[in-house]
Amino acid sequence: MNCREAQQLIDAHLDGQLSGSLRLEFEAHRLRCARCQQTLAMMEACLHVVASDRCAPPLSDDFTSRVMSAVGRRRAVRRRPLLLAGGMLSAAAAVLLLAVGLRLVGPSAPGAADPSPDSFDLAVERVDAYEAKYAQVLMALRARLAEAIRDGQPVPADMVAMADLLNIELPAGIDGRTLETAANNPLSLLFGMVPAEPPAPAKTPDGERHSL
Amino acid sequence: MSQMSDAALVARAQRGSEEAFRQLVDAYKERLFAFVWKLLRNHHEAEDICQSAFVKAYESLDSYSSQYAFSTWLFTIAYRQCLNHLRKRKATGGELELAQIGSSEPEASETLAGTEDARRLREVVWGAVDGLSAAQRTAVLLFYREGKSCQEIGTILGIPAVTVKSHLHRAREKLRGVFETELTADFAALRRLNDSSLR
Repeated sequence: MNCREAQQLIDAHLDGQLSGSLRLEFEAHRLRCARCQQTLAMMEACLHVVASDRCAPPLSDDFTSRVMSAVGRRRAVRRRPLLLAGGMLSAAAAVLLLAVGLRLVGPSAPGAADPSPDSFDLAVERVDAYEAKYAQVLMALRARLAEAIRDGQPVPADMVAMADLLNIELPAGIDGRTLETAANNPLSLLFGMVPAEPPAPAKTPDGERHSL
Repeated sequence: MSQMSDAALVARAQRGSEEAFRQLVDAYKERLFAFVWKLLRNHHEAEDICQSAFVKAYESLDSYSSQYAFSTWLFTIAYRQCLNHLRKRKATGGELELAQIGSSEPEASETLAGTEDARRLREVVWGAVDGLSAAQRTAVLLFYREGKSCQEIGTILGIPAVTVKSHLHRAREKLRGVFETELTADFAALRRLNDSSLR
């Protein structure tokens, strides 16, 4: 093996990829060639420095605390819309039950005096059970959202949360137009959505995403 | 940290355990910081990127797949953020030559011998590494420092493993060229360094 051939194999040797007779030839050449010994020694020293030199400055002592604080803030932000939507649905379920009891079922019908839901899960089940009123709420919400978007008005964040729960697809970028919810009373919004006379139900297949 | 303990901690973190994620942060923060610092050569920016990478990793835990090592996934996030940061730095006209930034940072190592030869070798080595392209430098750091395979490095860089090998080959060629220019006269001292000062 000559120097030119050995120089071309230095990379493979450093990666531990030489084997068999090729490796033996390379090692034999290395033993008798000062130039290749020098090149290999320099590369091995360099890679040793790269692998083991601790030249980075020390990390701040409070680094982990800062990371976990940021993580905690993220968790708090992500929980807020879910709690809000959950609260909205509970309120919606309670009002819906009252509306259905008074308008469709009547005082003489069995089950007219539906008890208030004891839990959020129960409220969701009861809302789903009243399909016609559910469709009316859906239509009313869609209409209100479409009106707000058409008029270029900011969309309240609680309405966006409710739209998401009811599987209503909103245009892209709608989040940027949402209002803080403190000024909005979700119950008053909901009362405004329940019509006095039920319109013809929308013919929308179950499970499909509703569009505005 | 072993793969098994990583997997257990990640699983617990995915189920909401902040303590498990804290342990992952403590396990990887030094290595991640060293990697990011060598790319950015700025202490505060490197800490910010590392913090951001960990938070991003936490937010994306649901999308983490155990087919990759957690370190590979974490370094991928950090590398992408470094690239974005370097592009912004360049766009605002604030980018300095990396070699200049590197030479202005205070030396923090206490592990190498303080001999003149050791300092010169480190200067030459890191100066040469800083002169590599971002992809070549990243490949070298991940291969030799983190012990990542070419496949894993390809995952982190978003390139095929064969391209990683090409980056490593070109990086070594460049490094060799620098050494043959800068260090040929110091060969005898290098032999001594390799045997003693770098242990």
